[in-house]
Amino acid sequence: MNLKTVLIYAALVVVLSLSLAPAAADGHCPQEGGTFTIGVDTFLPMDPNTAAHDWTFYAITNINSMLFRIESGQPVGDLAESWDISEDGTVYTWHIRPGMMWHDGNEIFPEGESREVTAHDVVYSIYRQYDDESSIMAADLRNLFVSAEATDDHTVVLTLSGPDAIIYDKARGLTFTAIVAQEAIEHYGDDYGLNPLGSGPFEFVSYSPDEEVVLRANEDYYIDPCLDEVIFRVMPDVPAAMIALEAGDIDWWGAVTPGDDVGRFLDNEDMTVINFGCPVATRLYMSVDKPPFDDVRFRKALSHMKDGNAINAALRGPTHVKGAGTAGPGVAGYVEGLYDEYHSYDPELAMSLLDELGIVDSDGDGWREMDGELLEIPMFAWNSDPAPDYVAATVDAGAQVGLKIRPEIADPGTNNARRNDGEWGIYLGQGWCGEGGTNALWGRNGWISTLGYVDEEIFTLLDQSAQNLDEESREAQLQAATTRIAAIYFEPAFGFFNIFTVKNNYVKDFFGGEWTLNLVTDDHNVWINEDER
Amino acid sequence: MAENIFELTPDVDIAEEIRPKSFSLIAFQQFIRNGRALLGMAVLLVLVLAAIFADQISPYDPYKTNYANVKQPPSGEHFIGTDELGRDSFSRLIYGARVSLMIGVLVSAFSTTVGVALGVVAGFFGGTVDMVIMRLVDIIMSFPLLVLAIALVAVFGPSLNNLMAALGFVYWVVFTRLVRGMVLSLRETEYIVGAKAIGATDFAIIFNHILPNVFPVVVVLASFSVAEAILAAAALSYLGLGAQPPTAEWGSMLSNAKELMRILPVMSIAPGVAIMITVLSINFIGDALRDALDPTLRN
Repeated sequence: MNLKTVLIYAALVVVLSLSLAPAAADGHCPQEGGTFTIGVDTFLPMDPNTAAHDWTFYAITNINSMLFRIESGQPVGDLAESWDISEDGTVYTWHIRPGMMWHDGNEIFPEGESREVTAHDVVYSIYRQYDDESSIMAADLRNLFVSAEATDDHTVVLTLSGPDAIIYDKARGLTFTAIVAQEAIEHYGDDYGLNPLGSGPFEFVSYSPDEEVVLRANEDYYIDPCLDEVIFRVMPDVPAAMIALEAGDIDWWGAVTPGDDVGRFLDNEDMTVINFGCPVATRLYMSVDKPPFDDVRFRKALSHMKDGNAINAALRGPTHVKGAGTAGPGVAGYVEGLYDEYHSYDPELAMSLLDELGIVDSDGDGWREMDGELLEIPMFAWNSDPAPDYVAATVDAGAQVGLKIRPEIADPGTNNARRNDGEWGIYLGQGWCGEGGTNALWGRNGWISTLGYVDEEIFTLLDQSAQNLDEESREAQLQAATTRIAAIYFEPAFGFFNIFTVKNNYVKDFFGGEWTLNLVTDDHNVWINEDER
Repeated sequence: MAENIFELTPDVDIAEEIRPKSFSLIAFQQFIRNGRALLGMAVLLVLVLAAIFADQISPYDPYKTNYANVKQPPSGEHFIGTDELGRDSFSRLIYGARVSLMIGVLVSAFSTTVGVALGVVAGFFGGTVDMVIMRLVDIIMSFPLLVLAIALVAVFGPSLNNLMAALGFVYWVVFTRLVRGMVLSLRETEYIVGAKAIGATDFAIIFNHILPNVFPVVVVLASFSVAEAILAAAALSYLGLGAQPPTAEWGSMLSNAKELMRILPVMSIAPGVAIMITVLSINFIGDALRDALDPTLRN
């Protein structure tokens, strides 16, 4: 055998080895083991019915299986191996992956005594969310829901009253229906969120509120996770978290990265800045069913009294995007020019509208009165940055036109309770995006309906668009809804901001979170290159 | 002829020399001889004047936003730069003195008044009254005082008024415990027993004999409590439990500045130094008062 033949054989061996070497996505990992530490600013108990909170859902979607996950905007199978949709788009038949087991070694399923996840578990989980009217099941999906039925152990039939064009939208739909075990829900009751049990790629180990959540790899998952452990570290002090990220104490900052830091991390070759993919808006909601907010002129005055675009640019830095509405640029329903038409800075117009309404400064103290009494409007906001800065900016803008705005800053729970109770005032709002977001906010029984945002024409437009499978006309319906929302509510807009998360580059095969956090799927399996750490 | 020794010191009034000085005079002389005390007084005076005349000396309106001028570094126009809303940080620092000093003085005044009154009552009358007051003191002191204040503000809602109320509520116990101990000892002294024997009323004894004796210690403690209240208020405001936006207050300024720590460190340093200087000045004064008012510490 001459040298040439040896080299050819050697090359063949190398090529064959490489072609047979399984990719990480097949459950084999270039490097196994290690801990992936994720930094977040807040964390709630992990009950999928109540945890309306992005970062908490990152943990839930790794502990619990979902019927499907969203990857790059597209649905990929998880607990459902595949699914069929009837021609009229109203019947979904989900084929459950056989052999998926509940996590064991816990109070519910002792080691080696687990059972298979079945179609009945899926039906139980869907009805658990549907029956609980305060759960986070999106209102429009709830409105379309007819039934969920297990036709056998591995088949679920979901029937809707009409087609759901946005059932895969990541901000709503079944992406929030984590599959739970009835035994665990009944055993733990209200404490289930502190002791979550699922069938996902990682098992729950411990939860120290306001500190950390520890998960370990589920060896019985249908794909072997590359990682041994995932830790969610709660770091409310964001500047400290940014330092920890650079030092490698956390591997990925999964919450919103401040604008000033985004610019810095973009220049850091050891880090990757990941765009969440959907710009979210910051705006004000008002008690539109109570005076003086029930008069469109007052709402218009509030919208024009402040320089929302400049405030947002100052507070969001390079993540700021000019605009208004729920849908940002590049998102279905986006209407260009909406900000300039309805929310431009015009304090003179704001003052003339207030004068027209009889809200004037009659005693000369610099503050306007309504019906002879000082008009002092509470502004509700949550207590983490940059919310208090938006409040300060709004208070100052109010002062410029003689409107006294009183800050009422509290924790997010108190803030949500006030909104649910319909307490009179203005509310700082942030988040929601895309078609699902538009529906969730402004649709029937939407997130802010308790404040009086009830308009049948908007409901109809959104209902029609949510069931319209034709993308072009759906876009037109969404834009019509967005424009009408601006025209009748004048909800004071500040603009959008892009959510950027940042990872250290030694975290491999990882593309960030999109409500669901996909660490182990058919497409990829996150691993840590310890040599680069 | 024998030399008239008095002529050697003709300008000295012998009667004046041999007359014993009053306690207050000695204390005052001791106090003004203390360099640190004078420095503390001078700095505090500047701060108080700045707080009173903030409207006149601030170069800008501390609440006026300017979005074309955000996060500016220190310059001739803005001595310590501008914040994330374009507000002049130096003007906010001056107005912050007003809020911080007001908190310190009001909290200290409240806790001193309530604490001393209850301490005197508990110590002088004893019995059930003493038992009730001191058990209340024990209960409050069984919690870390700052943590208790945080809990109170969290329950009643974050605001400047609630912050002062919470601090006042937790700090009076320090005065009560100290004063009660002193009164227990004082009421057994011969002159108090004598006063009682000649028919002096409780009211007269408390005002003529007890309070003057506890006064020096209370003054010292009160001065330290001003500093402590300023620090505690800054801590609570830093946590978002005190002054609400857009109020200029040093603790909340520190909290706001932490986001900009990397690009504008001066925004954190300035309120931090302001708090430090104020607390240090008050502590210097407190130390000097203690030295002056406690005969065992003189010289």
